[in-house]
Amino acid sequence: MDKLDDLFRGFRSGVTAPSEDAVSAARELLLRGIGSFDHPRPSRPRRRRAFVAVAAAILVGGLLVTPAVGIGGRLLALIESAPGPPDVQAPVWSSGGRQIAFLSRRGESNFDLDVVNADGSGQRTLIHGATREPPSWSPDGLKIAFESLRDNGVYTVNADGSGRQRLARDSKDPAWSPDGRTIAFFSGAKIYLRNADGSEHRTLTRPQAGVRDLAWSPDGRKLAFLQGKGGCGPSCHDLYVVNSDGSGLRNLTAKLAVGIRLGLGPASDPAWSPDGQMIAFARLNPGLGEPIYVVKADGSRLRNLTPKPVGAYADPAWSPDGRKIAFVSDRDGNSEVFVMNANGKGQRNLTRNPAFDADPAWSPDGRKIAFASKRDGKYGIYVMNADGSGQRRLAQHSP
Amino acid sequence: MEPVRSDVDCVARSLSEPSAFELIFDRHYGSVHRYLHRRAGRDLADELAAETFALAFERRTSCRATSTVLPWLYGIATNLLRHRRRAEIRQLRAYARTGVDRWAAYEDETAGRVDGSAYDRPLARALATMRPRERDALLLYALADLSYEEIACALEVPVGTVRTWLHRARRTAQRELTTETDVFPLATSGADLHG
Repeated sequence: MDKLDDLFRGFRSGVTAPSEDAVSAARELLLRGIGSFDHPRPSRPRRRRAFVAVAAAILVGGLLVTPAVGIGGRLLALIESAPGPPDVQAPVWSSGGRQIAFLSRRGESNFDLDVVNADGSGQRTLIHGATREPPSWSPDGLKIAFESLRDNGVYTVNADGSGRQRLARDSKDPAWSPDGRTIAFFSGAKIYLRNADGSEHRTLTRPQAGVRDLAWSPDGRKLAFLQGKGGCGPSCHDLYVVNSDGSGLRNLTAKLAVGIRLGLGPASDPAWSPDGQMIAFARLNPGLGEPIYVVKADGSRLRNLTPKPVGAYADPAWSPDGRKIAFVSDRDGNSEVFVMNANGKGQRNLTRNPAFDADPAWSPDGRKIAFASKRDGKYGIYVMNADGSGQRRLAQHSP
Repeated sequence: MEPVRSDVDCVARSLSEPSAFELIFDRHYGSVHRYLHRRAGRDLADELAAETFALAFERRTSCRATSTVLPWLYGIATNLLRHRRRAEIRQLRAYARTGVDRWAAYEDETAGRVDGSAYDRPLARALATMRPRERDALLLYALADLSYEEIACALEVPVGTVRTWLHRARRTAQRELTTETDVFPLATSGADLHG
């Protein structure tokens, strides 16, 4: 059958090379996807983010001012020199406040999903081979949804480690709805909603480039997420909101783009206020650092909460009573956990420690804040009172 | 100047430094586009080649390649084509019927009519007639130049399945070519099972 094969080898063999337009459009699409990962931050929690390459972020911001589509050698070198990613990250409280799930690194992007009791006892590994996407507790505290390296799927597992079940493959970013009935996730760049009992699923949106960071509103009626924004550099996103029935898709940060030059950085994970009225996120503005913004869920009242001092900020996390926002900043010289009033006033350094601190997570009763720290030389999950006192270790990374 | 990195190095690196993946794009976009162009015409190739690399980046943790990632990329491109099967078949049928290929863009303007000589139309019809997976296997072999093992990897099936599909694809093609041209020699059985 050589002759037959040869004939097929000749089929349309005279076609032209791709046009320049096609190549650039394809490259742009890829760069948007790349941009949704930007620096080598391993943690991209639903509502908080590891504050790894803070210094690099500012420098990156400065570099991005020079118009350039795509990422150049200098930028790459900067990214390479940034501090390595933390080995333990993304503490997430169960809604009863009794357990904390977190990620513990095994390999470059290979994590264990661990759980520890809120008093520090009973640390155990539930799953090997999770990705760096922080897990999502079911509201009843019995199960956890997570991203697995195995067929890049979204899975659930019982809090005791039993009963691992796949929800979907080639999917990411699972988020349990507040009423416990639905799990949202991305698959094929679309939002899927799947009943937690597996009975049915539906697609919510059309495929969009560079989607990430799915977050339910507290009343379960809306979902916020990030979507790549074309034409403004590789690390550029807008914040979108959609109703849980698929209607009302809306871009909340389209306004931010106006007047801002090439090199807009990533918006951080959307963090809903407990009353569902506002969403907080961090944005990288070249030359202006990475302030924390809030916006109303209808797109109005977009405000910069941390205009001064200019620096890198990240990981906004609302207190359960909605009065305060914890966040991460490097303005005192290293990555620390801060708190401020929800209007941006009264910013205070809580951790006050020369080591790396990040990933603040309020306990459901608002009395404590869990966070990741490297203060004992190794990365661990720590907890402190909401005023910064009583800082102690709950769990540690054990290689 | 940095030493040239192998494909798998780039992919591994891109797990923590995503921008390293752009090198994969630079190296292989042309090949992937060409494969898609020859299968489904230029417009679809423009669209699906872009999607292939965006998707490949998202799935880079699942790349199992040990040296070149091109077979992996062809696999992704081929799976994307599955969703556009109707478009692909419509083109092939029209091409088979009229002898005019309106979907591909040729280097030589007139080549659309003389490329592949007399076998163009029956080839197009043969491709349209085959089962989708048989067409995938055959064209990954003939256009993308993959080995049986690489095809198996790309389509995520055992090598034996690939052999079966190729055998059936060739048989279908033979039938079409023989019927159409009355010149194409009948195969001797068993002679086509090689790889």
